[in-house]
Amino acid sequence: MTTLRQPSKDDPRVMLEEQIGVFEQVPPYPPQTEREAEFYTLGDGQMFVNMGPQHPSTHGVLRVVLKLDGEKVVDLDPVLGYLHRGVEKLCENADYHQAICYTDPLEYISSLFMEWAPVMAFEKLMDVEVPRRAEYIRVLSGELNRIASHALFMGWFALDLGGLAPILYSFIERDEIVEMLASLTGQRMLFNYFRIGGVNGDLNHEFMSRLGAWMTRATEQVEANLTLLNENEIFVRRARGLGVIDAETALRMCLTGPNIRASGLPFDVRRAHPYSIYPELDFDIPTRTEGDCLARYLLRMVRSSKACGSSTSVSTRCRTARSWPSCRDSFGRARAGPTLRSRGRAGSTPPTP
Amino acid sequence: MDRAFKRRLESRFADLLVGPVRQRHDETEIRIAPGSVPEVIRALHDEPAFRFEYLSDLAGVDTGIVMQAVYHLWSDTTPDWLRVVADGLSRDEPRVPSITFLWKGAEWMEREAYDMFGIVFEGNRDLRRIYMPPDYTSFPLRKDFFLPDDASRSPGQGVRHMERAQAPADATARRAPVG
Repeated sequence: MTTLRQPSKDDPRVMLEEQIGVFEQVPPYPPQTEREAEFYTLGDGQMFVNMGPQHPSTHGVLRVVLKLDGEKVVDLDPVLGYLHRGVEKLCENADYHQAICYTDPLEYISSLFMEWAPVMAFEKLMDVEVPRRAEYIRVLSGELNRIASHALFMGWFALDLGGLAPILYSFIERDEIVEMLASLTGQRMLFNYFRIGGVNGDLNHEFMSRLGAWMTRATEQVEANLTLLNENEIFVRRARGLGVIDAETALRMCLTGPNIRASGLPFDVRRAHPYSIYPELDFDIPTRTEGDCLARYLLRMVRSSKACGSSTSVSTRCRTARSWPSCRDSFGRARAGPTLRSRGRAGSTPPTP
Repeated sequence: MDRAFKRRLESRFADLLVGPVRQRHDETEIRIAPGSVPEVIRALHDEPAFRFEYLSDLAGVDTGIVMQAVYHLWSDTTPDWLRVVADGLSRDEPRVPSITFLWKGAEWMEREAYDMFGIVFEGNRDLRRIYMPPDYTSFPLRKDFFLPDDASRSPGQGVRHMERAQAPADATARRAPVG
């Protein structure tokens, strides 16, 4: 059990007259591993501080046990929180289609990507070929979702540093995209839109007109938002040189995404192991070599403006591709064309070039 | 599918493979015995013909008959994902050597596989529960874990009336082995 160590009179850390206690053994059970035993042994003058689980900078519930020596963090032990949802177990009792909606809330900021993964796995298992139109719709909605997700990241990051304004601006973009996707999928956050072999519904009038209106100003708007922070002296000074990860460490720690690209490794799964129609799209992989917080931030921001570019090109192709066969319902009857409201299954037509 | 890669794997690891090299879509799969995991993974990581320097994922699998530890690796020498399956871990005492000597990031992945399946990764310095509470006793993603009765043996038992055991007729027969 937890024991309280009585501070001695000559302990320099004792500032108050009344008794204060220092937790000598955290957590209140014997350490189970070598590393845990090492961490939960206090050196001279060290102490533990719990950061979280209700710390404002830990979105979701992350608790970090810090081992402090004065004001310096010498070691830390992240405790992830007891948040496992047991989705795998739930999916064991569901069929494939029921499993898709379980995966949405695992990444509720950009949930289309989260449902993309199991859908692609099912398609591989079943040898289903996805029609090109459905792939275009997936990439279009997915990239829009990516922009929305990065907009939220920018706002939150600034909020954690104490800047309130950027989140207000970035939410303008995010809300517009979320509304757009809501008109496409029927939901604002947990879309449950992808299906095995396609998507739930075709592009509709409302989505395309919203998208067209947004596209005309998107790139300038996203880049204007970037100037909120990129040229902010305080922000840049605080983020630069912080948490530097070199390329070797990034590989050793199995980093992904912008985190590994900020360390100079051009690993983007859309290029490294392309899926869907990403091989046909023209985009480059920006990398930086600094490996610090600023580089990771900048890469996400660059990627969000790149995503604007790629969704523009995809949406242009969607608009101009009148020659594609329209969707068919489950009885094989032709449904409305690409720009009309249609709830037909986009996945039921064979692929055509 | 990268046929040349399959031939390279077959010639290099001929005696270490358990079963044939399987290829499907954009994935290549090899199966090895749990004991040869460090040797095979180190060779895949170090040798210039393979250069699998990126560990994408590590997962435990319970097929209901045996346990497996699955490693997903990426390299720029082949367009395929490589899936290395350490096959044939016993369900009573699944043990496999750790690969944290190559990837520090594998530490948490192995903790997760331990937490969910009870697979012991020998050599991992920090093999303890990661998602479940430290005093939790069962392994929730194993095939012999049944939702209603095993969840009711959690430390939260009795806090909410819905978590109490429903005691189905065959409860004792279905009860999962603890630990």
